[in-house]
Amino acid sequence: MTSFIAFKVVRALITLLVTVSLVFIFIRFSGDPAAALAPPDAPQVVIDQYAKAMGLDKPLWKQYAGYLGGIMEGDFGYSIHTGRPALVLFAERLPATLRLGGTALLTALLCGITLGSIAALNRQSALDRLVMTFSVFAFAMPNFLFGLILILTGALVFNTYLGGSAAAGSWSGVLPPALTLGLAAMGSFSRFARSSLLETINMPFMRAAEARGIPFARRLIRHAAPNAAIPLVTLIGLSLGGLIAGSVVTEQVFAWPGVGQLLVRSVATRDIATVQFIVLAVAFTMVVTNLLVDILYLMIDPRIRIK
Amino acid sequence: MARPAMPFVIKLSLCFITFFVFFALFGEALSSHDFRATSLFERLKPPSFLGGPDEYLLGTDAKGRDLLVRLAVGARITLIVAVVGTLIGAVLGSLLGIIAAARRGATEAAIVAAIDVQASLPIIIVALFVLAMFDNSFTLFLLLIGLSGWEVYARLMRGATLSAKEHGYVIAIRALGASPVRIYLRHILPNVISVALVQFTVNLPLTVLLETAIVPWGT
Repeated sequence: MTSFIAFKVVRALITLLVTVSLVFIFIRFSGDPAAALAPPDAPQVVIDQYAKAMGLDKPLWKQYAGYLGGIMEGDFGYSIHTGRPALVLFAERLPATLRLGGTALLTALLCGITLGSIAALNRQSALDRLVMTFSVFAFAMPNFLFGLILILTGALVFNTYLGGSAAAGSWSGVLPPALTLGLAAMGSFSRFARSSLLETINMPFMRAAEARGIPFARRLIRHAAPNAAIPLVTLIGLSLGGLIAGSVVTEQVFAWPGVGQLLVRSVATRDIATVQFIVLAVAFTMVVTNLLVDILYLMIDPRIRIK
Repeated sequence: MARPAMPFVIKLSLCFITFFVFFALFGEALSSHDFRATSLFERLKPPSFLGGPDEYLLGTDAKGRDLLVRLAVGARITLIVAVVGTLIGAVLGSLLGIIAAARRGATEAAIVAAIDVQASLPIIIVALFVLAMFDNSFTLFLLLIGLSGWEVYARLMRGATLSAKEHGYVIAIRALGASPVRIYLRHILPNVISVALVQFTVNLPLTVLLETAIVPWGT
């Protein structure tokens, strides 16, 4: 088990190193940063001076080593527009994004698992078909369209604006964007919860529990649920990428002051340091989460541990 | 042997897809307007069946452009990007997956590392990162769309090829002296391609969704 975890950790580290290197290569080959920063009519001497100040006159491998060293020390460069560290800009925006993403994931999990369980327990009924139709709808609905529909409904029917900083400041304001962000995940969670629970219910140990006269609720919660929950742990790890990608769109639609909005703005203003930091942060989050999911999986499923 | 009757939902879906493709291909002919032509006198007209002018079947937008013809042209672009983009990803990913399984060793390790890297970055983040550095163009957009999901094909095809390699028929053909290229193209590929085909049908609608999510950022 230790060697398995060690293997996973090494693989995660390699993935991160390759990503960091790719980002470096992409930025270096997209054009001369010194020329981009200097005014368009600046003489070559000024550009050279910029290049020297930024260390661009050194050989490429030295620049790469310096770049890696900087990342290790937590130096991710400065935003060319505000002059503040990219790390600080990111940290300012993070709480809003975490609140949005966390609420979205929680809502998706709660609603998805409830709906999926209802469908599994009423298999082949109209209720089951209704839930499955909803899950297809939830999965197929583009999140920006759903967000716009929510905003329009709020504005035209309830006379309130559902987005913006005011909504980000209040506790109930997080719900409309979170629902928009979590909708797709909710669809896939309900689908997986249904099939996972169905599979567990038909296992011999469930029949044995029924034969022993254990009441229905206890059978469901104590016997079926822990077994059915195991595949869902992996699904949470897999849905993280969709949530991060979706938060970029959702934050834009709801004018939510989070990291996704910062990314879109930095891209529009070509603020490379900030864009680079956000890309690295996303990669880091994804890799670490998937590593944790793998380890968690080992801990909750004794069958894998023995192998 | 009689085929089982097609379920109603599948018939309905087929009709819809056929309608969508025909509309994308020939929808422009339903209107006499160019999709870029503006007319300030004809702004925000309702559809003709709701009392708007007869020449605008679905009405006009805020700049007086014909909505019907814009829908048709938009549908065509969506369809081209979705099919070409998904094909790029499918071919590239499947090829890499088969090569990884065929060569093993360092090649496989490199491809698996590339899969891990791609899987750790949602494609929207990659697209925005690339857009921050390069000017956008239709080719770049198509390539980015094509890049999305290749790692899924690579992973699937690698697994399928690895298991197909161990089958008796492959060992038999190898013993007969067939070249590796012939073994993989003629014997293993037909056995594993169904995996990629299923993934293709799952990926195509996702590509359309991805397209709609990226386009608003000025791609």
